[in-house]
Formats: sequence, C-alpha cells, structure tokens
Amino acid sequence: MSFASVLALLVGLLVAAPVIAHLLRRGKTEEQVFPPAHLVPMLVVTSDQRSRLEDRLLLLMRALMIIALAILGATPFVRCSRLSVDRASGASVAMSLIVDDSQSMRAITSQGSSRFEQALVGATQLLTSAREGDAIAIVLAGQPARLLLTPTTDLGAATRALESIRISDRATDLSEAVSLARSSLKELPHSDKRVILLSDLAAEFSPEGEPPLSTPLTSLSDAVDNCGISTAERQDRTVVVTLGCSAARAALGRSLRLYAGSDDTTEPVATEALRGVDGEQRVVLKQVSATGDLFAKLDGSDAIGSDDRAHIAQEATDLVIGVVADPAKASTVTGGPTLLEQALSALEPNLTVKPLGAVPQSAEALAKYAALLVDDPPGMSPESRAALQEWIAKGGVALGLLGPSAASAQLAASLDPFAREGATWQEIEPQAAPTLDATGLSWLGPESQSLTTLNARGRVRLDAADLPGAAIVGRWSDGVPWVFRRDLGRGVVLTVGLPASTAWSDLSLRPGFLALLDDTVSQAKQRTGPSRSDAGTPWRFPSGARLEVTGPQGPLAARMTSNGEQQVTADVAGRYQLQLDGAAESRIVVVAISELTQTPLLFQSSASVTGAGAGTNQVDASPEWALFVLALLTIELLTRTLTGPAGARLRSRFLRRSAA
Amino acid sequence: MSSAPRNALPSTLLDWGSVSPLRLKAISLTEGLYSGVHRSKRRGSGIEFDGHRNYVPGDDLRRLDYRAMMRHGRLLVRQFETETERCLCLLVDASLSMNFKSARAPTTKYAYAALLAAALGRVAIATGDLLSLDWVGGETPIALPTSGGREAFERLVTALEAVRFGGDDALQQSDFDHVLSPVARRARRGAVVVLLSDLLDLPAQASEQFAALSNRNRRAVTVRVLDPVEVTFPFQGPVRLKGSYGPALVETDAAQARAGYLAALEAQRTSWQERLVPQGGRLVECQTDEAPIEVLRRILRAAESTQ
Repeated sequence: MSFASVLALLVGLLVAAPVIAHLLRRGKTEEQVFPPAHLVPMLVVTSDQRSRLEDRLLLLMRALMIIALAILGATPFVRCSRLSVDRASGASVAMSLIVDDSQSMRAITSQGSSRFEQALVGATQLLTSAREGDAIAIVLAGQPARLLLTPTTDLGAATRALESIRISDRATDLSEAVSLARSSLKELPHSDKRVILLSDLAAEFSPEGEPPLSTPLTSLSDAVDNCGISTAERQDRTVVVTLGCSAARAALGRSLRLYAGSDDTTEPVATEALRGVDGEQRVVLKQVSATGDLFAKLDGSDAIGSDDRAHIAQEATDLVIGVVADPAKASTVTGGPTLLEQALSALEPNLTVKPLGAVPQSAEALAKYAALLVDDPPGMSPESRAALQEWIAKGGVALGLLGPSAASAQLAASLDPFAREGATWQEIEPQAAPTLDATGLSWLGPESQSLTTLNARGRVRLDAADLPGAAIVGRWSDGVPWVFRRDLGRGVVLTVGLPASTAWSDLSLRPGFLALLDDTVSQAKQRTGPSRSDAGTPWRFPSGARLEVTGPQGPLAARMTSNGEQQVTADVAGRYQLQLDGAAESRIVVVAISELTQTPLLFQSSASVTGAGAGTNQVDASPEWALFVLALLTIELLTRTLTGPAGARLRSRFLRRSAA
Repeated sequence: MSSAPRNALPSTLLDWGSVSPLRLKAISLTEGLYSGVHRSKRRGSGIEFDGHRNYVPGDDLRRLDYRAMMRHGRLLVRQFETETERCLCLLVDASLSMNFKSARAPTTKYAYAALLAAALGRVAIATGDLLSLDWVGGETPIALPTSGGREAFERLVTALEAVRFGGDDALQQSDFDHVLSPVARRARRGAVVVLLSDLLDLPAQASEQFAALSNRNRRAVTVRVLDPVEVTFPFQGPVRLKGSYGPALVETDAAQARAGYLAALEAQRTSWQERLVPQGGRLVECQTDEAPIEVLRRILRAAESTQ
C-alpha cells in the first residue's frame, strides 16, 4: 500500500471528530432566546433522553460518512478479492469457463460455503468483468463433460446459463472438459483466448496445451475430510457397503450403521466400525435378519453430508456381461480367461463378467445380463435365437464377433440376429490384406486410428449378410462391411466381421478393440440400464414408449436424442422408480468411488496454470463508494430536516390534512 | 464552551426589518385612513354655527338670538362648534424582550410597535390632536412632552428611531410607577393613552395600574405585540430557552411544555382584559407578522369605542 493510500485512510481517523462533537453537546440542546421563557414550565428528564437518542442516529450517519470518504480516497489503491479478467492487450477475450459440477464440489470448505457455490460466485465475477465483444463458453466438468453454452458474445445468455447450473453427484471428467473447452474456442477469431477452470481438481488430467489453463480459485483445492457411501447392496443376509474416504482421519472413530425403514433415530440393526484408512473400503455386515427397506448411514459429520446415507439395494446391482467364447480358440497362449473376459475386466472394475458355454435358450436366463458378447459362434439354435431376440427387444445389447465358425454352421442353426446365411468366411493373403477404413469408425473415438494398420488373415464378408434396418458403421478399405449396427426394439445388435482370436488377426491387441467393448458396455448401461449406475449415466428408451421416471428430487423429464430415442440422465444419487409402458422398474444411481477417494491435485507446474487468465485484481470501486457517500449524505440531511423545525411543520401539516 | 443563543441580537442594536424607514412606512400606512377617524368636536363657544337651543338661566346673554326669539316666540340661544384638543399619550415598551425577532417574523416586536406608534401619532397630528411619548424600559430614552403639529410627528419618529434597549433586570413595580406618573399628568380630559408592549417584562401589578388611567374622560388602550413564535410555541423536542434578563435557562420538552406555556399566556391576556374593560379600557392583540394596517384599524376602533 502506497503512502497516498495510507494518507487517504488516515482521514478515517477524523471519525473521532463527530464523536467528540456529539459528546460535548451530549444531553444539552441548543440554547435559544425566548423572551416569555419564564412562562414555560420546566420539564428536564424526558427531554434529555430524547435528545440523546436523536443525536446517536446523526452521530452514526456522520461517522459513516467520514469513513466512507476515507475509503473513497483510498479506493484506487484498495485490493478487492474478486475475480476479473486480465486484459494485458486490452483486446476482447474469448473465455471458456469450466465449472465443475461433480459430487466432490459439494464439500463445505473452511469458508463456510460449498466449493460449487464458490465456483459459481467466481464465474459470476468473471462474467461481470467481461466486456462487450468478449466471447464466453461454459463447460461442465461432471462426467461426461458437457458443453453447456457454445461461445457467445451475449453476456446475458452466459449469465442465464450460469444460473441454470446445478450441483450433481457425477464423477469428475476434467480431461474431457478441458479438451471440450479448448476445442470450443478453436474457431473463434479472438487473439486472446483463455480456459478458466473452476474446480477442486479432484481428477487426473494434464493442464498442458493451448489456450493456457487458469485455475484462479486455488482455495477450491483445499483438502477436506470426507467419507461417503458409493454402493450398498444386500445379498441374502449379508449387506456389502462400498465407501471411500478422502483421508484416514476422516474415517477415524466413525462407524457404519444399518437402519430399518427410513428413520435413523431408531436402534440400528447392525453397526460396523470403519477402518482408519483413506481410499476405498468395503464394509460387510453379516447376519442381517431385518426385512424390508434398509439404509446405511455413516455416523459423525464431514465435509459432504449427502453422501453419508444410502439405500440398500435388495440384490446385486453390478452390470453383468455374459461372454460366449470358446476358451480353446480365444484364449491367450498362457491360458486363463478368454481375451474377451480379460479385456472386459480391464475395462471397468465394477463389471461382473460371466463366461457362458452357449447362448441361453430362454429370455428369463438372459434377463440378468446387460450385454452378451458372442465370439465366433458356429450358429445358434432356434430357441437361442428366439430368446436372444426377445431379450434384445427388451433392451439387451449383443455383440457378435463372427469368425471362421460362421462358415460351418450346423443344420437349423443360423447366425441370426447377427447376420444371415450370406455371411461367408474368407481367408486373406498377407500380401493383399485390406485394412480397416478409419473414416467410418470415428464413433470409436481416437482409438479407431489403431485399427487402420490391422493385420488380418481372414474375415467374414458381411456384404451379403446384411439384415433389415442394419447400418454399416465400419468398412474394410476395399469397401466390404466390417461392422453392422442394428436396433431391435430397445436393444441393439453389433456384428463384427472378425473374431477375437489372435490366430486370425491382431484385433484384440489393438486399443480400438477396447473402444469397441467400451461402446458395447456403454450401450448396455444406457439401454437395459443396470439396476445400479453412476450418476450422470444417460438412460435411453425407445421413442414411442410411455415413460415416467421419478427420482429423489422428483420426476425427471426425458429429452429426445438426435436418433429419435428418449434419454433420461439421473445426476443425483439415490433410488429411481421407472414406469416403462406400464412395467415398473427400480434403478439405483450411485456416486463413483473415485469421486470419494480422489484428493485434489497439487500442480507442480503452477506457473503454467495460474495467472494466465484471471485473478484477484485491483479494482477501482470509486463510483460505488461515491454513491454510498451520496446516499449517506442524503439520509443525514433528511434526518436533520425531519427532526428539525421544518420537519415539525411538515408533520403538523400532514396531521392537519389527515384530520381534515 | 459558550455559544451565542439562537435568535439573539445585541441588546442595543435594532433590526428594523421590513419597517425601515420608519417615517415613510408610517406615512404610507396612514394614507387614506383619515376617513372614519374621530371628529374632535365639542359644542360650546366657537366660530362655526351649530344650531339653537332653549335658553336656560345662567346662559351667556350675549348668545341670545333675538331674531329667532321674535320668530319662535321663546328665548333661544345660538350654539357654536368648539374646537377641542385631545391628547394621544403613547407609552412604548423598550425593554429587552421587545428586541426579539424569530425567523418567522418580518421584524422585531419593538419595530412593529414603533410603526404602530408613529402611525397613530400621524393620525393624531392629522386630526389636530396633540401627542406625547413616554417609555417603559430602555436606556435613557427620549420622552416627548405634549405637542402638536408636523414637528411633533418628526420628533416622534426621531425619538422612536433613537431608542436603545437596555436594563439589567425586568421592570420593578416602583419603576412602573415612575413611568405612569408623567403620563397621568399629561393625559387630561379626553385623552387616549396607548401602551404598546409585549407585557412580558412588566411587573405583576402593571395591568391594574395602567387600567387605573382609564376613566370617564380618559381611555387606556393596551396593544400587546407578540412574535408569532411566542404565540404558537412551535418548538419540537428538547429545548433550552433563555429569557430576556439574567442567566436563567429553561430546559424542557417542547411538546410537553406547550400546553402549559399557552395557558400562562392566555392567563396573562385575561388578566389585562379583566382589568381594562371595567375601566372602559381595551386590549388589542397583534402579531408582528400581521398586516399593520389591520392592527391600526383595530386600535383606532378600540380608541373610538371608548369615547
């Protein structure tokens, strides 16, 4: 603070002047000459008291005015702790605001408000400092990352978009959010582009890249102590609760209690102490004899209260994937599970992968599977086909990896619904081997590039095996279809013209293969919907279906997707009741365990992160203070006028008019 | 810490306000006022014939009208108008309380009273009457003996303008006796004595003494001049009021004290009224924000009604 600033603030010491003046005349009113004073009766006590009360009001006004004047003098030098956009060049700025709406942002910090509220305040301050011509984009970092507002110069629209953001129980997807924010600014003509991240940074991501990333609210990354429940399931008389703690001290001395009904003031039916460790831990409560609805609750309090309580799902809610593969053909040379099983297990830890000897022959047997992966099937019996078609129509996802067995289908067996009889196996000469065309495989993401150098020694020609309604979503470089996608009822069928076996290609060794499986699992989550899914996972339903979804915060509205499906996204953890064409269904939405265990990152390369786009700045608050001083002056004058003789005349005139 | 009280004026200076210059204001005020004023006539010896009446023993035989006697057959004597000289005795209050002017008033009480006195003097001079001037309070004021003519008016204005307020204390009973004695001597048969004062610094028995001046042949009129503030007591909240004399202060709450003050003021008015009326006198009240012409008419009516 400069000498001038100190000098200006010293003016504030003059606040003692009115205090002294008031003290000197305290209790003594102004003396007036009044010749007939000897005719006036003397009444002292009440007059003194009233005088002091009126004086105090004026004293307050005058003292405030002097203090305000002192601050007004110092305002150009006063540092305000509000965010604003740095304008080194003075030109318009293109700014992409990433607001983290994930579950970890619910944490109440030492400042008394949640991280999310602080982020919103920061975003609002940044918008306030934006000028005409600045372009604003808003990206939400809850998984999956979403572009809430495409870049616009309409600051009103940006403000409205900001006001519409609500906190969720989603996981954090900073990497995708930063990528989305950067790509949203790419086409803008502004020379000064910023990506501003308002997050607790509780996720892995790389800040490097252009435009530079700024994290002005570093206080959001302050560590908090929190434990939260992710999943809670009951299997017979055993209840398994998965929970996570951000720090060991958050778990110390706490226990998990199981209550019947919905009242936690009753005696718990079971209690288990937490281990005093950070990270994920599973608490198993055995011999639980209570029936009906149960819920688990963590005792004590922490930074996030909403994740300390969860309903107990009455059955296992993991996503179950069935795999039909011949271990003899599709295993690694070292043995063990098939390649498909190993890939699925690596893909997502919460998946339950069940190897099957053959495709089940009844829809009931298939009902517990969200997806069915069939590797090099030799054909399916009519019963299996009927069961499969019925299961798919109800929302099942089937992936068929056709191989040489397709050419040796037994009598009465066919590849339907994956392909028709026209599908034929073709061996390829290594010299003339076609590769895959990556342009049609963009739906697999960047991993599709790995398939362009695929080495295959055989393939199933699907060009003569197409089914009604099937879409070709991948081709060989010679134009032969490689992947079909066909919607069947609520479900989908994917047909791939290569088996998983490494004997015929290196497909299963490519990242593109994992992307294919990931897409299949995602489709399964969205369509059949596991009875448990992470917050933010969209559920898809047929366009014509009658759908009602009710969650912890009331009914959810479905929106139509570009391909004509209804989509509902539940982003708050809890139990959801669905009515789909009259059939009732219950789904559980949970907080991803990573969201509970991931601690905020501390950037080593802070120089490249902070201070690049926004920060606390010196803001000239003179106009606001001048208005404040003016308002005080007006109030003081009004007070003096109303309590003086003129005020008395006004009052008496008003009383006379009222009486008239 | 000492501070000058509000509404205060140096005791010896006078704020004439809207009354200045007094002479012109007084002349302007009395223009057109002569019609309706008293005719100072008594029947008796004179030069202007006024009629006949029957002879009564003791009449001057020189007044017998023989022609009328021959015509009517009885003794008749001639009557003539007799020009008489009535005296207007002005008694003006120059005590400190008269040098008061509130923010709402156009001038001080003394200036207003002086204007009324000058105007009354001009009316008297114009009708051929005599006038005199005496003072209540003030520092060495100039008293005017009974005199008439234009010079008397000029001397009256000069004396009124030369006043100096003063006195360390309110007027005592003995002081007021000294004031009234010369007035009583000057005010002969038919005289009108006019006291112009706020009646605030006068002793308690002043009303009784002044009323005693009024009798069958001599009338006393009291003009009470008050400031609007003194009439309405418009103060709010706590007030510290300082009187004309001495260091005494009255600290009070205006709202609570208002009724008591107004009652005391009314009691004073009633006291003067009750003393004057039985003696044939009159009390005229006025405020310094009133039009002086109206007040002057009221004074003249009060003086006429006593004839």
